[in-house]
Amino acid sequence: MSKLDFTDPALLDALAAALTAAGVDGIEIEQSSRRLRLVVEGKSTRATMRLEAGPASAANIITALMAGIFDLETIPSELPRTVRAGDILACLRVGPVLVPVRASRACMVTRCLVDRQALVGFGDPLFDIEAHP
Amino acid sequence: MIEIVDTGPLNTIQDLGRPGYRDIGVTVSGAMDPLALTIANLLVGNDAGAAAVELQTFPVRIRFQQRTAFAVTGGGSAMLDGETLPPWWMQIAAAGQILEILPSKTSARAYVAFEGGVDVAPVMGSRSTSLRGAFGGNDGSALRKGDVLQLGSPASGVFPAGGFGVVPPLREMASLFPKAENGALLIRALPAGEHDLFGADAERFWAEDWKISAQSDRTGYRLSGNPIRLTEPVEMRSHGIVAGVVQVPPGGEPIVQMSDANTAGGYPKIAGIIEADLWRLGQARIGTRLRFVRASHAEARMLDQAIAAYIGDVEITARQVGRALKAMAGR
Repeated sequence: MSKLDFTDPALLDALAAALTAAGVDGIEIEQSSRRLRLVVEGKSTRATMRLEAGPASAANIITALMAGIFDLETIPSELPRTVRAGDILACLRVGPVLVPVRASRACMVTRCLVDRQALVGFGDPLFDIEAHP
Repeated sequence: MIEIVDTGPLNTIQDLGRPGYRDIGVTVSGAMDPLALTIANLLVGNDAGAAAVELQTFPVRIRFQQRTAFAVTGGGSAMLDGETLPPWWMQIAAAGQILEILPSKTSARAYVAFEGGVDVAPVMGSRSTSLRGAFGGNDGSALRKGDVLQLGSPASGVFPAGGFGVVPPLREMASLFPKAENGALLIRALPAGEHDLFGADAERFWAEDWKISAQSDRTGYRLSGNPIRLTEPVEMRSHGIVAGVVQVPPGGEPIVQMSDANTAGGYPKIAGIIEADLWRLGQARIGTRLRFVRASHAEARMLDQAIAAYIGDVEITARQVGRALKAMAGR
């Protein structure tokens, strides 16, 4: 199977049209070296594209482990906040299901990087963290 | 296996009950909040009606004797070895870990489902405990400190290591369950057989707030408020009754039949609570103020369908998310 060129505007237009026709808000396609996130905006077939050079550094951020709606209602908390490894910081909502976003290590969570109820994709930065003092 | 390390009184094993035997005087029993029981089971890959533990007095501590997926729904504030779990949540416990459940401020009953279900012998097709009949569940008894419960063979569920949960039904379907301005619990019901015999008092039944009295349990809730009375006495034969029926004894304060409902009774029936709201009443605490709202059959059907859609959505999405998380964890 030939490899698709996701920088080709014609391919992106076709994908956006297919998503709109299917009533789907967006799609994520991950290749070995890059990731495409295509989001349909409103009723038009316009789309935005973001190419990334692979997963972001996990040193100072906590990222989304899957796509979903960012949910802070289930685990309300004030920032900054000191957490232990494994503590739940937020959830990603997929339909009625809530997937936890957990701290990968003990740290200080200093800033939330996305809006409540925002649609986030795999690898999107969610929280800034600092090493535990 | 699980061990009950600590429990309050009247906590029992329940499933969705044993319908079909009312004609021989056997009450249905089953969870007071069947929606919470269903979701707890689905979160751990069980059939919706597997046996689980219904908790109404706290604190409760449960020790896991092997690695076990479990879910806590309904009321209750759960901690696994001191780690607070979000509400309506499934998690995997390691052997030796202790699940502690404390009361919640808003709901009366918590449900804990275990992967494979609680494996007690079914009686008349159900594992529910009938405390009044002293049969079913844990040999007809409430849970006691030191009880060890066997679990059934787990289904081949896919459970993410970090656990996951669901949006509680009252949040997910908030628009379908409106709140009264004064905070009273709004419970929708249909007028029942003897409704019109109460004359003007029937209107007060719908218009005034009632309070769930301390004389309330799994059999029925006795409500306190301004008494309502028949316009004139009537002689009635006993008739079959089911959970949700609202009767009015001569004292004038209504009784709502609940999961351990009597199978027959002779008090006049003023209303029947729709099933879509009965689970909310099952979660109402003693002292809760409530108001009855007259509903239609069409509204009752619409709410039933909405709840069924929520359950179906949870079942399908939980499976999909479990598979996705497992695939990502293996990359």
